[in-house]
Amino acid sequence: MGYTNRQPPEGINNVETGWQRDFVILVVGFFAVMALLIWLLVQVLGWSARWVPFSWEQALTRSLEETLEPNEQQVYLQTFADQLAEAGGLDESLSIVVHYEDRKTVNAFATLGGHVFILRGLLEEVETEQALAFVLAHEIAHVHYRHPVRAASRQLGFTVVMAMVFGRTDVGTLVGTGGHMAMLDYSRKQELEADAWALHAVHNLYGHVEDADALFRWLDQQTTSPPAWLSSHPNTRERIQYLNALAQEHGYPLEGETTPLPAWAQD
Amino acid sequence: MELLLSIQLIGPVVFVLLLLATGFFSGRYLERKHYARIIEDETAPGQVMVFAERLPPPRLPAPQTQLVMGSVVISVDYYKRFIAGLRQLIGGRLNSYESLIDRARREALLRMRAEAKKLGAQQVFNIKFETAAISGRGRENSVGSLEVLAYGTALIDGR
Amino acid sequence: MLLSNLEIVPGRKVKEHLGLVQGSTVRAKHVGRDIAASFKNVFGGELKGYTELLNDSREEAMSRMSAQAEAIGANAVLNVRFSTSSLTQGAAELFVYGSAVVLED
Repeated sequence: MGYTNRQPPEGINNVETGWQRDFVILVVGFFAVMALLIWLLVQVLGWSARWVPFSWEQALTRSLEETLEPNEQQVYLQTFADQLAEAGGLDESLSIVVHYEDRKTVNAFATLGGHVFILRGLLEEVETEQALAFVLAHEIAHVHYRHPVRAASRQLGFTVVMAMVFGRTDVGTLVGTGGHMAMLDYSRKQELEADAWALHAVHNLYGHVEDADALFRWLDQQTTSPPAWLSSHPNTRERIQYLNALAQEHGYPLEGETTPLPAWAQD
Repeated sequence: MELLLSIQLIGPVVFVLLLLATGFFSGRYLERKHYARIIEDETAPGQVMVFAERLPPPRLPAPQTQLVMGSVVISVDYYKRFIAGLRQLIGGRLNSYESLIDRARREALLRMRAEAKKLGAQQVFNIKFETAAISGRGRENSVGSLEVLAYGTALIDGR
Repeated sequence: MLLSNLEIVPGRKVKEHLGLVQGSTVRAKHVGRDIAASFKNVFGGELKGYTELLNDSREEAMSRMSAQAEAIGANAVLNVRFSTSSLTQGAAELFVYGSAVVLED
């Protein structure tokens, strides 16, 4: 009766399959499927947001209304916005509340509940009423197309689904980045959509679109902008070209009389 | 500001890709080296013999008995963890972890055998294994590391 | 290949002891099964999908152990033990080991 040890051969408990198979099947196949799913998810979420009643948005942003201080600038901007909304044909169920903020940044943005923010820096940079009209109309267009709520629902829904499927893993990080890229692509499309609506509104109000691209021309002179596919906004030069092409297509006169902004905005 | 945003977005991707490449190459290199050493040690002449039988054969004079054990904590590389993370979505065999755990088990057994050899034993009976996953860095979803313990009773002949 | 968790085989003599043989496999369940199981978790009852998965894996671990035993010239594995450990969330390792022996005919 012998007691010996014999060495079993290799490759029984660890099958060498080569990394290529795993890599190709998993990484490539998986990311192709994921890209499709992300695209579908973002699409569906953005689309379904249109059934969120506007009153919900307003209820959610009630605190913003309380911070509203009606000074000279705010009243001017509000009246102006109402005119533009009428000229552009803002959906009747929606309403605009303009806020003026005393900050140096050149920016304007629209958020949930029809709240539009105009910053002091922007007013200092634009010189004519027509230039301001385009920016304001652009933000109103976001409200009109309900972009803020669509973006919010995409962001929220996407985050929840990702957390459910992946948890906090590296795969989740990568797929999440992919999703954000998809959302950026969306955001760029929405900007163009809003540009078109705004151009239309400005034309309806003044009969021409002179200076509509004034802010873009100014932006174009500023340097340091990331490549378009990483940005939430399209390339500035492309936007100028897009506006020109739109004006030509609809026969909007590119030149006309411009009005300077009131004195308080010029300092 | 936009530039900052884009760095925020691209940064993690570059970071993960870098870790993946590092994990892939270092993991393969270390695994080959480890296997080579394991096989060399296992087939070394005069290596202590191991058996899963509960009872050693009766013999005279009765040998001394002594509990011996060997353990190892081994970590999975970034690439394997990533592949395993993907694998978990579609299910199936996790090849990358199989080789990991095989190495760990054989290493633990070798350490136990080394201990037995130090005691002057020729055979170890009733080998048992214990495996535990030790999570690293508090992340719920990934194996940080893995502990394997091998233990058995060494038979030490005469003194 | 005879597998048994007895020390001996009744009526047959062990001719040679060849040492430890082991088989292991790591399997992951997929998300689809996971979601189905999470519904089942509410009502209780057997998770058929998981039972099947673990059985398949155990079969494979056993066949790997048998392959090792056969390769070193044994015709039986005695004192077989199973051990299951959860490596990571959603993946389990099935491990089986035993003593490879040559039985007399």
